[in-house]
Order: sequence, then C-alpha cells, then structure tokens
Amino acid sequence: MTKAAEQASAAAPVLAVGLGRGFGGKSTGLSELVWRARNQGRQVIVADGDPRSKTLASMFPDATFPATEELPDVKEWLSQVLNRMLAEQRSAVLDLGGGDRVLMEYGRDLELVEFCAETGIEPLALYFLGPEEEDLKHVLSIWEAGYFRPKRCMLVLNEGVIREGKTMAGAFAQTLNHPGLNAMMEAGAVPVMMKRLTCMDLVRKSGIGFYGAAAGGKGVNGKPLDPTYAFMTKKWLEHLRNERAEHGGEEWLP
Amino acid sequence: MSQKDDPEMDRIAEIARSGSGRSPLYRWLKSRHDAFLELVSEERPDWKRLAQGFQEIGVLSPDGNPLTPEAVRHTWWRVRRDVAAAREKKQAKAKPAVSVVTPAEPPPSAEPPVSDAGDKLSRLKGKINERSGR
Repeated sequence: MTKAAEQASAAAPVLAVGLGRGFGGKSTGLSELVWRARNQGRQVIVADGDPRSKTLASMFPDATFPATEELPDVKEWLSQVLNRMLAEQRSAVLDLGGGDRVLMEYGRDLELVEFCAETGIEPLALYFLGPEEEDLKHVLSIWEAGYFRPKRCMLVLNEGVIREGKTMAGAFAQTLNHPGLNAMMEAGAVPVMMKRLTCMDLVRKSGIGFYGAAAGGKGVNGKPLDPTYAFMTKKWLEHLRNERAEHGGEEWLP
Repeated sequence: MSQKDDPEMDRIAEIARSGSGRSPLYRWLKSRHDAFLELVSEERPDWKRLAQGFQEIGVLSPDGNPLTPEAVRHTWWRVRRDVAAAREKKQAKAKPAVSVVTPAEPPPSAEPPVSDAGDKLSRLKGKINERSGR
C-alpha cells in the first residue's frame, strides 16, 4: 500500500450516498468514485440499493444489495452496510435509487447524520442532476425533507444526459435560476459540472473502469481503448477532479 | 519622490509579493484589480483572447506553461473574492466603536462583498456558458 493510501485508510470512513432521479448519471458518478478509490489503493464497500436498475451491482461483482426491493429488506440491508463500515473501518459508496422513500423511512428509525457523527463516519450526499425540472424538484424534495442533510454535499450537473443538439446552458437554464439551487449552495452544497464523455459506452464495455481505460489497460475483450478514447477519458477525469477540487470537494471523497 | 515614480520600490515590492505563493497571474491581476475590473465590466471578457494576451506579455502558469482561458477566469474570480474580502475587513476595522450620526462614505472603488453561494453559482454559470460557447 502506498503512503497516501495508508494515510487515507487511517482517515474516517466516508459514507457517499448518491441521490437523484433515474437517468441523471448517478451510477456513472458513483462508479467513478469506486474506481477512483481503488485506483488509489483503497477498497470501498459498493452498496447498490437501487433494485430496479442494479447498475452498480452489475459493474462490481463484490457489490452488496438488498434481498428484495421491499422497504423492510432495504432498511435491514442499509443497517448491515453501516455496521460493516464500522467493523471494517471502510468507506462505502451507496446508491439509494430515487432515495426519497428509503431515506424518509430509514430516517424514522435512525437519524443517519447524527449516527455518522457519533460513530466517526463522514457522510457525503451527492445529488445528481439532469436538466429536467423534475430532476431538481426531486433533489429539492429530499434536501428540504432534511432526512439526510450532511455538511458535505455535492450537486453534480450532468452534461452527459442532455439531449443531442442542446447546449448545457440552455438545458440547465431553469435549474440554474431556481431559488432552490441557490438555497442549497447557501447551505454549503458544492456544484460540480460533469462533462459529457463521448466514449462512455466504450469505457463501460471495457469493464475496467475509467482509470484503467484512461491508463491504456486491457478491457475484458483483451484490448485497450483506442488512444483517442483513452485520452478523452483521461481529460474527462482531470476535469472532474478539478471541478471537485475547486471547492475542496476532492478531500471529501471515499 | 512619490511612490508612483519609485522603480526601486516597485522592484522590491515585486520580489516581496513573489514570495506569497500566489501565481504570477494572481499577482498581476491583484496589483491591477480596479483597472482590470473596469475593463471587464465594459466588455464581456473573452477569456480565450485574454489568455493569449497574457502569454504575449509573458504572464504564464506557475510551471511556465501558457495559461488556459479557464485558469484566467478562475484566477480573476479568486482575486475579486480576496480583494472584496480584504476591503470589507478594512472597512469593518475602520468603523468607530460608537456609531456616528453621519456614516462615512465607503471608498468609491469598494466592491460589494461576494457571497460564497453567489460566487459558486456565478462561477458555475460562467463555466456552463463557456462550455456552451456563450
């Protein structure tokens, strides 16, 4: 293990929770966090609580997921994830699907942010936003309900889900001028722009993640990405890192 | 001799500021804050051309590479934020312990303080506009 990895593993485990409507880039963003940690020599728990899509579980064979999508099973499984984090002192990347229903129900049983504070876990909320009005409304409904509102909060605006031919400024105009977005930033949320990665599908199919693909690693088909695509992926990762670093968000990640 | 015409003082000031750990662009923009602010208030800044302009006059990144438009824009925001904060602090210090009937006028060049959320949102909008070719 490298010195940096040793230092990081000695730090508090991070509970990174991805929230937002489907097709907002949540699985893409969360998978990048997992690969980022692994690329830096840290093993994180991958927890896929989105039983409908199970995208994270399909990407990471060691991912954990609830037995069924029934609420009692999801809540029981969530408790197990937290217990495991404490026992193994390991960070977790958690996809909660839409998130609102589970958080509301779970919030009645356990005050998650307070629990994290007491047990030494650093909670991090990652809201993934597409350009639709409903995407922001969904995010605001979770945030305003207050069941999970940690100090560390990122708002990821995903260019990758914009319809072809539309600009980011046009697509997100309504979101950017919404007072709710400003209120979240007033409360400390950090905005992150996630650019479109043209070769996203190729990276996914490679099965080795963003960092492996960018470094020219061989995918599951035995071939690396073409150099142009590997370079695009590398630049995409650099941009994402810079976006998060601008407001200190890189330090929050698992 | 006025301080304005003192090249020796200018040289020493430049050396002193270069030890601040700030980039050459940051120092350049900070020392010309008001003039640059006026300039970019008149015309919507073309960050790409400004980056080229800085390269032409020899203002480069800390590792000696040409500046990117994004770096110029970010650095300018940092300078604005820092200057606004410094001026606000200075104004607060200058306030008398007991309020007077007629408050002193703020210095004409003082900018309104940039709120953190407003700053974050403006920067995000700027980046998105740039990404969208606006």
